[in-house]
Amino acid sequence: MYRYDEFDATFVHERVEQFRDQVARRLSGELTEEEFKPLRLMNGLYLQLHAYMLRVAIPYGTLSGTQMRRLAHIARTYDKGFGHFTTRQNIQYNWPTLEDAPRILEELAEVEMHAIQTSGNCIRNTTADPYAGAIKDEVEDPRIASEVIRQWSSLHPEFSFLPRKFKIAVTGTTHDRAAVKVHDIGLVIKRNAAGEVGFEVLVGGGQGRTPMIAKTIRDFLPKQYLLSYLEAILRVYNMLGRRDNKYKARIKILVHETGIEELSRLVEAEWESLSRETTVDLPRAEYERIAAYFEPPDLAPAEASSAAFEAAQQEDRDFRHWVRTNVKEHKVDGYAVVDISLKPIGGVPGDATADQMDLVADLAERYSQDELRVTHGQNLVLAHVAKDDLHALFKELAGAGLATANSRLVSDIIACPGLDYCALANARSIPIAQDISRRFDSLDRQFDIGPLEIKISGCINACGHHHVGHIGILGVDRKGTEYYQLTLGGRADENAAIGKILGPAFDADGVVDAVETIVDTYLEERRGPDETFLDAVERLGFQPFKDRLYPQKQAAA
Amino acid sequence: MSEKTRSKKGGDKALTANRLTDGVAIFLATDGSWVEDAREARVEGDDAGHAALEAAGAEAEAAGIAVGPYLIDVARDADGAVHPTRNREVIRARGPSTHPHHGKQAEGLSGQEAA
Ligand code: SF4
Repeated sequence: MYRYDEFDATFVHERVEQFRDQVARRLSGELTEEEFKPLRLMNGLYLQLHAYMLRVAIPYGTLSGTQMRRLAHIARTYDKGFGHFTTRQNIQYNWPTLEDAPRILEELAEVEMHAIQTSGNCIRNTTADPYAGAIKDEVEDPRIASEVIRQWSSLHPEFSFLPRKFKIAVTGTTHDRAAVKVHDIGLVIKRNAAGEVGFEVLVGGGQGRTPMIAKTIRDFLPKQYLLSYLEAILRVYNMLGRRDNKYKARIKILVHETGIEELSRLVEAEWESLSRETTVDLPRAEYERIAAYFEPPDLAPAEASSAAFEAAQQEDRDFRHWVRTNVKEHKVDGYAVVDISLKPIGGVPGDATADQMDLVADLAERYSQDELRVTHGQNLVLAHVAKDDLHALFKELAGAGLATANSRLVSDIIACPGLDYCALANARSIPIAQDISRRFDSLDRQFDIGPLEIKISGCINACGHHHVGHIGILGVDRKGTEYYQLTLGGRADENAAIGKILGPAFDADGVVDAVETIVDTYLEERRGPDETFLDAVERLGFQPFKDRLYPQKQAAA
Repeated sequence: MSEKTRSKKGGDKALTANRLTDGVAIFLATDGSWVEDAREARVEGDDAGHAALEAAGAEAEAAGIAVGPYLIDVARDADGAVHPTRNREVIRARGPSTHPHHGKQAEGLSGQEAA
């Protein structure tokens, strides 16, 4: 894992002291809210419906046991004993006070964490494949590039007041678990014909009010030019991005309005002129210094499968199910990547109690090289677990309600905080997720349905990624009543697509029935269990689903 | 005032804000203090009353008590207790509907169910 150097540590501590002073001046009345608001937002402190909310950055979703234990301590001491993991691989606390905020940031700084650039029109936390460094077929660990970007983008003076916020995601495998095509910039690490490592650079993806899939602006960027090329893109965006209209200010609109060819030409020209000035690119030695922090752990290869592991699966049915859904092959024989579900049936997606966080910190230390990951699907991952340890790990997780076997199944739902917390919301998201999860609580039924991703947002800002849900749910407000619009066919992987609206919205009760109707229609219409939900939607189109969802309408037509 | 906090024209209104120190939703009470329980909110039904509420809000903001005060639509139930009518404000007055033991509802404040 990356460790702060002296510069990082001093900087973060100084920042805490500045914020302490700013909070004191706000509380004494020296600063008005108008003056203070940008300052608190720069430190991740929002004001929501019931309280302040602190969003803490978890760079590329990677944490040590010590850091997770500190997050638990903060949840217990300054919040109501829980935290909420987000689709940005970050954690949010829903109940901190303004008075405590500097102390919380100080506690975070002690474990090399902060809340800087978790808000505002700057480059936000770079997200990465949660299986980085552990999964087969990876060209390079995406966290190396993510860390390089983090260092370059932190308080970058030229990019602190962009037209809008800016999000970058990196994947090191062709199968995309980082949703790179719905980010402002997506990077896919790949090799060219000569075997050199570089990036496919995608630009202009995003969700929100105007969802778009990113387009490739450069098919292969040699690795050493990462920062200068990003700088060129950001410069062009900074100059041409629409500052006149908040809703048109993201780079996706620029790509859309300018066209990818023209934008590519502008970026390449900027890149040329940049390289004639001075370069921001890292010297090879510096890249390698950062890369050394992400050296794969020294795992002694073992038998691909162990007798004890096989026997435990035979004996323990729950374990067998959990292995089937939540355990993935590691690149080293004898090891596994483990998804820890934060989606118990009827639970709040992404919430973890302080006790659960403490336990996961312990388990990471004991079973997974003292390292864990937060996924953009609001779950956790232990990336390097020996297969022989899986059963013991499972039992400890199960004892804390953390062994739900549902990774990527219908109850593994993404939901934003919605109207239960968020000041921008139109409707609640969490109760809808809870009701759907309860409706599909039978694991046999979930297995039968197969991979199906439901994603829910409480407003068009799309923090719950509804646009890329296989079934997407968007909360809307109709004269004070919550309604939910359904989309179908979205996906966030390498074949990313934006879901399309099915028809009129449903109320809160109706939407759960509607989701079940969609699922039942799929089960009836599919060619067999091998035809996934998405494949079936693609083959069938929307009509069979509409016929079942809106029978009166069809009859009238 | 954002789109989310805009109340309809006219009718019974109360004044709400977030408390500076901890962000908790607060309401201007009849005695001029700020309370956590929406049921104790001062209600005004005409333009002059609404303007008086807003003036009190500006004052509380300047005094560093309240952040972002705005008017909300309210109604009285059969016992005369005040409650917000819009869903967003019902949830603000109660606490998150998914965590009945968190927020005001846990302390027996503002007992209205979210619609
Ligand atoms: S999608 Fe909307 S409601 Fe949900 S967290 Fe984002 S801003 Fe809030």
